[in-house]
Amino acid sequence: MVNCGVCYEKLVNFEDMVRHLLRFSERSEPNHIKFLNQYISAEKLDYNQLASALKRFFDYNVDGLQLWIKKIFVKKFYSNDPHPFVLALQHPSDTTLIGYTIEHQHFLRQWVRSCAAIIAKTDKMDVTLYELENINTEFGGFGTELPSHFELLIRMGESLGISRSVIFDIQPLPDTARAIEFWQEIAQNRDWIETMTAMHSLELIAYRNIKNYGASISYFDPSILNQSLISNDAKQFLREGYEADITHADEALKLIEKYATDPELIQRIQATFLQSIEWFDRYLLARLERGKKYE
Amino acid sequence: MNKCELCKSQWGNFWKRIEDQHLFFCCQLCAVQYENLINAIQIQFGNREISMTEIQGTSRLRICKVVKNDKEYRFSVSYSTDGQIFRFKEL
Repeated sequence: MVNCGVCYEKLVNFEDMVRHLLRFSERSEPNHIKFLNQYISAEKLDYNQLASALKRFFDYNVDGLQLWIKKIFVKKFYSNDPHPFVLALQHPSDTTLIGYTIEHQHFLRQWVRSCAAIIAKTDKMDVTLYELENINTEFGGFGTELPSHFELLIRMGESLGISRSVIFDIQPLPDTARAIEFWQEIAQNRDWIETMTAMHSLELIAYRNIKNYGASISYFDPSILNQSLISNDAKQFLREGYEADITHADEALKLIEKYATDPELIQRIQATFLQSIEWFDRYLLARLERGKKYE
Repeated sequence: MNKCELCKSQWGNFWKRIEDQHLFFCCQLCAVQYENLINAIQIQFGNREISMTEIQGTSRLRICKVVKNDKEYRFSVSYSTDGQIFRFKEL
């Protein structure tokens, strides 16, 4: 069995996936067509060509699952066409950072729930310990000396003139809310290892070594941490992510590769990952949309 | 083989009449983006003697060239997820 990387529909095999995609192409369904354009080919392929292309696309044996994930992530968010939020974050304006603060608080609240769901479902001690550390880094903090990323995010917002109570009062934009719903559904209903992939692969967005995988730029221009373009609180927030996410992403992907041994499970992981990054794409745009309201 | 007027994809089968032309798109999202693009160009550059020479980029960000009165203009258009223009910027 295989799962569609767009709608997660269970299909018999890759030949069935071909029929599934061709059906949705005939209906001009945007998400399935986007998948084809993005990952397979903008040129229309016949049945056999599409079957071969799909098998090649999902083949992780050459690179291994970790590298397969990294390459696709880089292609989607970095490469020659970096995500507009990443472009905006190179030398961010106050409004970009405000948008980041207001939407990302909702993301981080969901993040904790997703990590907790992984702990609830896994019997692997190293996975549990990883998730505990991640929850504390992102949300709990380690006392007053080491505030969490969540706390640093809120402080960044305060430094930009938005009070804590106002930040907490603002509801997420629709695309953020929908993305969160998706991640919550994954956390509740899918295998722990799929949830782990869905969430921790997203930490690649701030992965310091991303250029080693073909990215043209990194999450932000590191020189802004040494300039006066942004507030100290903004620097602190960005710096912490910059330091932590390199290990978070790599460690998670290692654990995922360690425990993903069944080929059907691996393909489900791939499908879940593909869905997750689509929602992440929309969520990053929501950060920009929020920021624009403060221009 | 038909190619999407916006993204040049050969998938899909969506047709829409825009400015008296029956155009092929891979999906409705491209059709919406294209129509919004045409409207934005008309607002920015006026209606007359405009020809679109190039559309490149992705569904997130299109880089376009138009010619008006023999002068070439480049601009970028970023879209929200529903195909509405988020930002129009002359380059």
